[in-house]
Amino acid sequence: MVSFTKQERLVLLVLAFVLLSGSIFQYLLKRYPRLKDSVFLLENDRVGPKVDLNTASLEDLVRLPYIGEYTARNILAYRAEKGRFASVEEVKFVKGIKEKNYQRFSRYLMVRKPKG
Amino acid sequence: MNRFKTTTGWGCAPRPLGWVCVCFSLGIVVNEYLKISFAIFSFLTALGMLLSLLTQRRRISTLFLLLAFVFLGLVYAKNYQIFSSDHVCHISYGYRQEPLLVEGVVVSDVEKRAFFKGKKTVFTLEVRRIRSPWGWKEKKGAILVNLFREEDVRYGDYLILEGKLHRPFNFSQDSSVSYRDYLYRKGITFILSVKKTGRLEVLKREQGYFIKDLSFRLKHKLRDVLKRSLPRAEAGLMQAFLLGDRYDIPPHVYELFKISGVAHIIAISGFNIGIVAYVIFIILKMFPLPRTAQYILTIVLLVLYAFLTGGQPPVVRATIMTVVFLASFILERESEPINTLSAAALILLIMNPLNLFDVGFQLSFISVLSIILFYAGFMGLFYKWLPGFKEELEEEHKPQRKDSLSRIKLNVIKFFLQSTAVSLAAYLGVVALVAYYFRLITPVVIVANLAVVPLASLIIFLGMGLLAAGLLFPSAAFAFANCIVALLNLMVAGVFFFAQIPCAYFYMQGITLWHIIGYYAVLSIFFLGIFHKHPQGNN
Repeated sequence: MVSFTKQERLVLLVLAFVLLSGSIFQYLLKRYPRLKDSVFLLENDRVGPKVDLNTASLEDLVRLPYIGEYTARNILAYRAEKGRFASVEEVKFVKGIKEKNYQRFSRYLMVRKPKG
Repeated sequence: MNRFKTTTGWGCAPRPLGWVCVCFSLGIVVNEYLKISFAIFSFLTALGMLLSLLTQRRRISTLFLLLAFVFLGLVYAKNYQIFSSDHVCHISYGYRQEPLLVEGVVVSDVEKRAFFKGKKTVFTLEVRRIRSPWGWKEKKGAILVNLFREEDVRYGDYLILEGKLHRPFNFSQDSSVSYRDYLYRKGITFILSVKKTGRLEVLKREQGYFIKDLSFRLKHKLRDVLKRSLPRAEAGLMQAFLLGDRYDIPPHVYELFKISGVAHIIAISGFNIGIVAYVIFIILKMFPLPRTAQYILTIVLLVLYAFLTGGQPPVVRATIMTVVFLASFILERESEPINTLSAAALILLIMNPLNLFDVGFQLSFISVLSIILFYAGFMGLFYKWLPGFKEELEEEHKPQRKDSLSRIKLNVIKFFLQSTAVSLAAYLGVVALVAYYFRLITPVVIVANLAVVPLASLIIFLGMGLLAAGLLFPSAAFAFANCIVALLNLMVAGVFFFAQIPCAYFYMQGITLWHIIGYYAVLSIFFLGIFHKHPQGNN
């Protein structure tokens, strides 16, 4: 009769579990490609801290990656002049913000619809 | 006199290294804030040592010795901060106006970081010569090189580069962390920026240390395995988990971890080293080796791993503590946690006294110290709130007890209580430092840790499996990679969920050094007043 030590049994069990789980996961992704949208969250825009453009303070904006004090002040000046942002895309009209910069920091911004 | 619990019961045991470390650190701090005379304090150090040697009374002799260590810290840090006249930090402003030629050896790992649409190559160069308007001049010291293109440069290469020298910028506006100070503490005072078209020639190869070269080569192989097997973002996170490279983590994911207070997971620390040591040891146990050989091999592999991850202070701290812990089995002597922690701190401070001001160093040591001091106290409180649970746990260890369902239930509750105690203890220690450096308070971390830490343990464990499979059985690597992808995304979803909880985190302005000192003073009183009364509060 074959017998394993405690460590051997543990390692073999873990290995079997990983091979099984990995195979099932891969099968599911191949069989149902739509699952990828729900599984791969790391590159997804939904996940990540976001700041509301209509309520953000100078400090809130400066804390975001790729936004410096100059840009943050311009965003606040635009908001003070034109009123609420209707969409995140509107931030492109702020002085000094170019498409390249917008692509970098837009994922950290959002616009909440006003209540009522 | 300090008291600690040993397996043989309560005994009196001194923790000499703890006091030595405190005194040495005090000297380093005083040197940072006061201008002192090197000669006077060298004399005072020698005098303290002499008086300690000559005094017959043990307590007074100890007092003189500790005083000598305060002065030694001062002298040691002062000496460390004085650069020779041919050091690169003395380079005149005139040199920095025009591009100049620099020769030197690459002494760090070479990182290829994303930069706009391309990549930039970043490494540390140990300078040998600089070309001035009057010809080549011999120079010493390290500089950071930013090469704005991808280039095949390796550790140990002797290079000639053309670029502009400048002081590091201070990027941070809303925190107490300064990039310039950070680099200065690593001995770097200048950055050489080499343009896309700037000159770079490799004059010689393999000028570095063999062990370091070997560990970097191994690291690159492991990095390739991760990049080959995982999607880009997941590979970036796994590089941070396993190899200590954080530059490929998507910024929004890093921000998410930061605001939830669980960013410690993505820096290699004692947690990662502990898992790595455990896995190595379990694997070695399968081989017919004597127990001592298994411990020694684990120690050797851990030290190699510390080299591989770049030897950051938290990694060195954790490696030293684990090595001492393993060595205690070889020598059959019990290790004392505060002494071990102090030994690790002393080694790091002797290597570089400015490590004391490194954020990673401070967070790493304060969290471990806090866990050592408060963990058992919190467990004592939990047992008090759950009367009868401790007795049930003790019952559970008895062989006649075979009810597996209640055993599982007990173990789950025990795990939950222990994790909460560790999380609370660590948080108590680091909360003030995190608030001071990052202006951030993250109460959610106490709960978040309960979910994230077990997941991270599994991920590191699977990551090691992936690295081994990628090198030895590439066809089996997919299984590990898929499990990692599922768990990593689950973890990120969990962290995102915790960050959404109301009052999960908030920013705080205006925290000064005095607030921090006040907080730790109150914490010490709290420890002495409440936790020290519990017999298990000091184990």
